[in-house]
Amino acid sequence: MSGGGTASSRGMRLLSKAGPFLICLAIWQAITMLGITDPAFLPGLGSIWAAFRDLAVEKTLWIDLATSLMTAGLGLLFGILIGVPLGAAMALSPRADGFFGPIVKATYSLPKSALVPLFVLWFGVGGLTNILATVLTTLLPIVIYTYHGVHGVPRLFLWSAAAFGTPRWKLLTRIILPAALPAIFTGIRIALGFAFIVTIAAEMIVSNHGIGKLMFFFGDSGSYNYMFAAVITIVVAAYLADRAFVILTDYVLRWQEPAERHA
Amino acid sequence: MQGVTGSKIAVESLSKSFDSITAVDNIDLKIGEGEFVSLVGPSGCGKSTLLYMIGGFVQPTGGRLLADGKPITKPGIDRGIVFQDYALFPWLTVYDNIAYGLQMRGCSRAEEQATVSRYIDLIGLKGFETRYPRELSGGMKQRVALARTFAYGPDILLLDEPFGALDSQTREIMQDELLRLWRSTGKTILMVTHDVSEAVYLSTRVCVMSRRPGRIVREFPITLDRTGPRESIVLSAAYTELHNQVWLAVRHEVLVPGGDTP
Repeated sequence: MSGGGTASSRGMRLLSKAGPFLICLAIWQAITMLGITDPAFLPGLGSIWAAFRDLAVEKTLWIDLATSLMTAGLGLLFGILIGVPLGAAMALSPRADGFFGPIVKATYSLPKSALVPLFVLWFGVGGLTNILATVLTTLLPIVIYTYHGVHGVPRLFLWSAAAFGTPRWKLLTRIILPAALPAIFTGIRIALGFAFIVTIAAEMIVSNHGIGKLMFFFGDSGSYNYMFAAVITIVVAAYLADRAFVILTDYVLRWQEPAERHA
Repeated sequence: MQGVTGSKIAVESLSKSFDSITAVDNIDLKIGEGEFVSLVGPSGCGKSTLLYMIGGFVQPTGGRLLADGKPITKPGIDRGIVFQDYALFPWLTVYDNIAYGLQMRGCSRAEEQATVSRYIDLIGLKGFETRYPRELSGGMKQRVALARTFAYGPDILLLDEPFGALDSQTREIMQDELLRLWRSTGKTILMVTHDVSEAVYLSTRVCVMSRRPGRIVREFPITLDRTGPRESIVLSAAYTELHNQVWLAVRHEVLVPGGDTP
């Protein structure tokens, strides 16, 4: 298990992680200060910070952030609730595989955000439309990783389970799903990234709320410092969501060799 | 065919072919209650295939298999198995691995706790209850694998090269542990091994298999006085004599000309 280390060594680790970001910010600031670019198109960090405080004080930023997080979160949640059973069913039943397999393969390369204008006609602007686009996107990696995870359960585990008299219905919950869990978590982590991408894309296409909507609105009106403030907000939120998921994975899969996690 | 009903395991004219290859050919074997039988033979002679068929994991292509007089068609809780690679469930702790078979049998929480802690004591892993298999050494994993199979109480134990992956010191300790478990429980054991010393040291009978297609070519009843410590058994003239006989029989099979060399 990872040792806590002293305060100073923990500080060093944090610094080494933050280092690349700090260097990028420094380069950004240097470019804007040297006047190489038009400040209207690449605003300085100071003006972005001011724009951020403006948005934060007016509270619209938080409402939009909450909207985006809810869309991404619900999209991912339903992606998991549908994707895990679907992938497991396809791996366990040739009939389910025969029926759903071609559909999954056919929709694999389809950019799901392209469906947003169509969904708007059916389900209206924002809300359900954006959630549906996100569900469809998160579904695929979860289905595929669950499928492979369940398919790849080692034969010896199944034989052992049979020798111990495991009834059929318990085989799924006690053996197959735990054995497939590392693969399922890999799929969910990929889906988490996709959820943010599609949520923002859907909000940019047509929506009344959300960070994507803010980005589109300020980009369109040429207020790039405000646009960048919105972009950085969602980048930070997505990064924190990913870190939180990694921490969750480390806990749930603590039985696994650390090197095998996040492979 | 006589005495079938009296046998714990009865194997009658058993054969198994994979496509055009005959792995196991016309095997007859009877194992009585409380016996400890070892199968030795050249690698690839079908020892493990025979064990898996008795376990019910692999279906034979000919002949009959009976456990307690009833035909074997699938795995059953009367036959416990320990695999060479342990096959512990990595997502379960030491406690939960040992408790697994008991939980599947639906025994009470109190009985489960009592049985598991008895076996944890027996294999000397007190204090490791909440560890996961990845935190254990090979010898510890093997002890957990033996304990979880003994714990839920199958009458018959099938061991597939159970100590093959251990270093020789750990292996000797584990052999004595197995001997102790076998004596204190009176189970019927069938063990596959390629280690002649192990087979002679542990078993009441050693069956030597021919190279593929596997048949049982020789049987050696092992009558050793096992009351003393390991060194007094291993250094006895009777042990040496039996060991040499079995070793020569296996060597004969390994060196026999013809057969299908891989």
